[in-house]
Amino acid sequence: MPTTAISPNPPAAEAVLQCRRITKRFGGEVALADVDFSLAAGEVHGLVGGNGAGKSTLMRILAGALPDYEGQVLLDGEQVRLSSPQTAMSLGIAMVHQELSGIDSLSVAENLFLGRQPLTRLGWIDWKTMRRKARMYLMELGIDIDVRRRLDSFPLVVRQMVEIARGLNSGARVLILDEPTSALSPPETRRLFEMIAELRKRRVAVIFISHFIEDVLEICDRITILRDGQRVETKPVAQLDKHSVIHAMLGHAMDVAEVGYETSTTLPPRRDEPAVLRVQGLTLPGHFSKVSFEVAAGECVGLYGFVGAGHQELVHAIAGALRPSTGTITVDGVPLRLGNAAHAVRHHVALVAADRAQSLYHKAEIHKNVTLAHLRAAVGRWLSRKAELRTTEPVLRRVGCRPADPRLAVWNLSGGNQQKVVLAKWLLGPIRVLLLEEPTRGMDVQAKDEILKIIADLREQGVAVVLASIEPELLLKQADRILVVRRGKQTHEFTDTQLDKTTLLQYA
Amino acid sequence: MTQPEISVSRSRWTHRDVAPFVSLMILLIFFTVATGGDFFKVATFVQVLRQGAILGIVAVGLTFVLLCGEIDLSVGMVALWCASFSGWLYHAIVLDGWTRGETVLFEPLGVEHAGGGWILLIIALPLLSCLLLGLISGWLTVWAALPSFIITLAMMNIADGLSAQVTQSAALNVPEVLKTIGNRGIPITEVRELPYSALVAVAVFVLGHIVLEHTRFGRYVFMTGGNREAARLAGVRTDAIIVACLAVSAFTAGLGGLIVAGKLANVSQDQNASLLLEAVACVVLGGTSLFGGEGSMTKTAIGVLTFSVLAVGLNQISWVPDLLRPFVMGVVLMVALVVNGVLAKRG
Repeated sequence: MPTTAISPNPPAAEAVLQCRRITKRFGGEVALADVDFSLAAGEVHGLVGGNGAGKSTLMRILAGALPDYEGQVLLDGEQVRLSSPQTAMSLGIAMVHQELSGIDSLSVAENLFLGRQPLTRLGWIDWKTMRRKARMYLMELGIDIDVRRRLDSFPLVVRQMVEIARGLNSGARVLILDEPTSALSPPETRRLFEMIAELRKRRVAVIFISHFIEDVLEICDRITILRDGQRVETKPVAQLDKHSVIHAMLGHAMDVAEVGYETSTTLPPRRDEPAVLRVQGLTLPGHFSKVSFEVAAGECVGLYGFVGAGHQELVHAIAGALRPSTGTITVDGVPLRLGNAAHAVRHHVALVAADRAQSLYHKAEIHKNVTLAHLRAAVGRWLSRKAELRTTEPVLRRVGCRPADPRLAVWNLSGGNQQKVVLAKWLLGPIRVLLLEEPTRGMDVQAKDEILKIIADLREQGVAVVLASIEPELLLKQADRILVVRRGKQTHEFTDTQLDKTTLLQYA
Repeated sequence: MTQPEISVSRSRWTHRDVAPFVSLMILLIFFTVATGGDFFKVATFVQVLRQGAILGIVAVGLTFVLLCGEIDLSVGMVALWCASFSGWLYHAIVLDGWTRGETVLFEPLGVEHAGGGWILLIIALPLLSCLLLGLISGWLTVWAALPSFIITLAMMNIADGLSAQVTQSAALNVPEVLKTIGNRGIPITEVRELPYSALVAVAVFVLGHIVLEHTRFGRYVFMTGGNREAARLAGVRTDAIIVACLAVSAFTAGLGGLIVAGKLANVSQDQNASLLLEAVACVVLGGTSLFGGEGSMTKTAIGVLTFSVLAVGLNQISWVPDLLRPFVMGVVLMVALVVNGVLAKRG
C-alpha cells in the first residue's frame, strides 16, 4: 500500500458539490477508494493523477455515466443519486469531454440549443430567436463568432467553448473539463482560460482535469491529487508547485522536471545512412503539397506545425490512410501503393493516429484489437481464445497498459491506456517505419515516459520514426531532425543546430 | 494499490447474450402449456426443424453480411433464381431437351439415364451463379462506395427478373435429390424422420461457426463491421471482406432456394416471397446487431429456432384463426425484440 498522507480536505465556503467516501469497483478491482471531494461555487478545482489514478472514473460518476457507485454525493448540501447522465445534467453537472460531442454538420446556434430549440407559437423552431440568443449568449462569454456557420468550420478551441456554453446554457452549475488544453496551441489556451475566468465570475464551479501541470497551476484555485484510486491531498494552488504535484502523483520525486519535454536543444548532425523511408513530392490537395523528406534507420524526424498545417494528414498519407494525388513513398526502396493501407502494413509501416476512434473498435475486447494487424503471426491459422490471450498479455504488460487484462472491452480503459493498446497492436509484428501522430496527447507523466521509452527502444532496433505533433517541446526532446510545415508546405528543416521553441514557432 | 491479479473469472456471457435463449425457453413453455402438452412431441420437433432448416441456411449467410456492417436484400430473389436456374437446367438436360426453333441443341437424357455427374452440374452450376451474383453485389458496393442496401435492392430485382425469364412463369420440375432433401430424412421413430434439410442446415451452421470464430477471415469480418476504418488502418482488406460476405450470403440463399424448391417439388415464381424478412427477423431475434461487429452463429441459431417454434406453435393453437396468424406472429416478434433490446441495455 502506498503511503497516503491524507491531508484534511479544507472546508470550502458554500460547497456546491460534495463527495463523501466515493468508492467504485469494477469486478474485482477497486478504481476509487473512499475518495472525498468538494467544490465551491466559483472555484476552479484542478484534478490530477497518473494512469489509472481514478480521475476519469470519478468524473464519469459525477457525469452520471457510472450509476452504481458507493458513497454520497451532495449538491448544495442535499444528497443526490447520480443514476444517469440525464439526472446529472438536470442537477446541473455538465461535462465537456476530451473528444467533443458537438454535431459537426450543424451550425453553432443549433449546437448551442440542441434539444432546447426556442419555438414559435405554432410550434416550429424559431430560427431567428435561436440565432439571436446564441450570438448574444456567446458574446457575453467573450466569444464573437458567426453562429450560422457549421460547427466544424471553427478551430477546436472555439468548438470547446461552444460546448462549454451549451452546458452553461442548460443550467450547469458544475462544469467538468476533461483535458481541455491538450489539443490547443498556446494562444488558444489563453482564450480558454479567459473564458474560465468569466465562468468564475458567474459563480460556476469548474473541475479542471489535465496532464499539463503548468496549466493546472495557472488556472486553478485548489488542486486535488489522486493516486491509485485514493485522494492523496487537496491544497490551495499557492501551496503547490510543479515538483510537489508530480511528487504527490507518483509517490516519489522525479529528477527530470518534465519527462519527454525540452524547451531548447541541440540537434545532432545528419546521419550518413541509407534512408528507410523516402517521401518525394507528396501532394494531397487541400492539405499539403510537394512534401519530400527521408528518414534513416533509428532516426526520428519530427514534423512540426499548428493544427491544420497538414503534417498530421501527411503522416496518415504515408500510412495509406489517405490517398495523395501525386508523389511517391518508398520503404527500403520499395514503392508503396498510395492510399492502400493494407499494402503499407504489409511493408511494416505502423501508424499510431491521434484519434483513437480510427485505431480501435471500442466495443471489442482488447485482445481482438491488439492482434488485428498481425493476426497470422500472432495466433496462426486456427484462432483460439486461449492462445490469443497468451500472446496478448505480454505485449500489454510491455506497453504498461493498466489493467493488463486482454479480456476487457477497450472502452473500459482510460484514454492513455487505449493509446497504449494501439501501440501494442503494432508491436506484435516487425516495424520498419513508425508514424506517430500526437502519441502522448492526453497522457500523464508516467504513461508518457513509458511510451517514449518504447519508442526509444524501437529506434535502437533500427525503426525509422516520424513524429508529427503540435507540441514543440515533445519534438525538441525526441527528434533528430525537425521539419516545419506551414499551411501544407515545408518551410524549414532543422538539423545539426541549436534550436529552441521560439525559433521553431517562427517558422510555423 | 497494486493492480490485483485478475483471478476473478469474467463471464463472457452477458444479459444480452442470454436474452434470446430466455425468449426461446419462454415460448417453448408457453406453447407446451397452451396446447396441453401436445406441443412437446417428436412430430413438432421435426416440424420446427424442417421450418428452421431453410431459414437457418439463409440466416447463416445473412449473419456474415450483417456482421461486416452491410445488408443483403436480395437473398429471397437470389434463392428463387438458384432454384429457377436449376429447374431450367433440369428440364433442358434431363426432361425436355433444348430446342431453339427448328434446331435441337440438346437431346433430353431422360430421368433414368441422367447420371450423378449431370445432376451435380444441375445443382452446382446455379450455386456458382449465385456466388457470382454475390460477388457482383459486393464489388459494386465497394467500388461505387454505395450502401449495400441500394445495390442489393437492385440485385433483388435483377434476380427476380432473371428467374421470371428463365421459368417463363411456368412451374418447373427439380431434380429428385432436392425433393429428397427437402422432404425426407433419417428415420428416428416408426413414423418420424430427422429431416435431411436440417442436417444440411446444421452442417452449414457448424461451418459458419468455425469460420467466424476460428479463422482470420471470421475475425476480419467482425472488425470490419465493428470499426471499418480501424480495421482498414490495421491492414485488413475491408473491401475484400465485404465482397466475400455478400458472396457467401448469395450462396447460402441459393442453397436455401434449392431446398425450398425440393420441399415443394417444383420451382415457381411465387416462392420465397417472405424469405428475406423472415431470415432477417431470425438473425436480429438472435441478438446480432444490424450495425455490425456483434453477433454469432449460435445467436442466429437460437433466433431461427425461436422463429420456427413461434410459427409452428401458432399453427398448433387452434384458437388462433388462420387470418390472424401473421398478426400474432408480428406482435410476438416485436415483444421478443423489445425484450431482447431491454435486456441488452442492462447487460
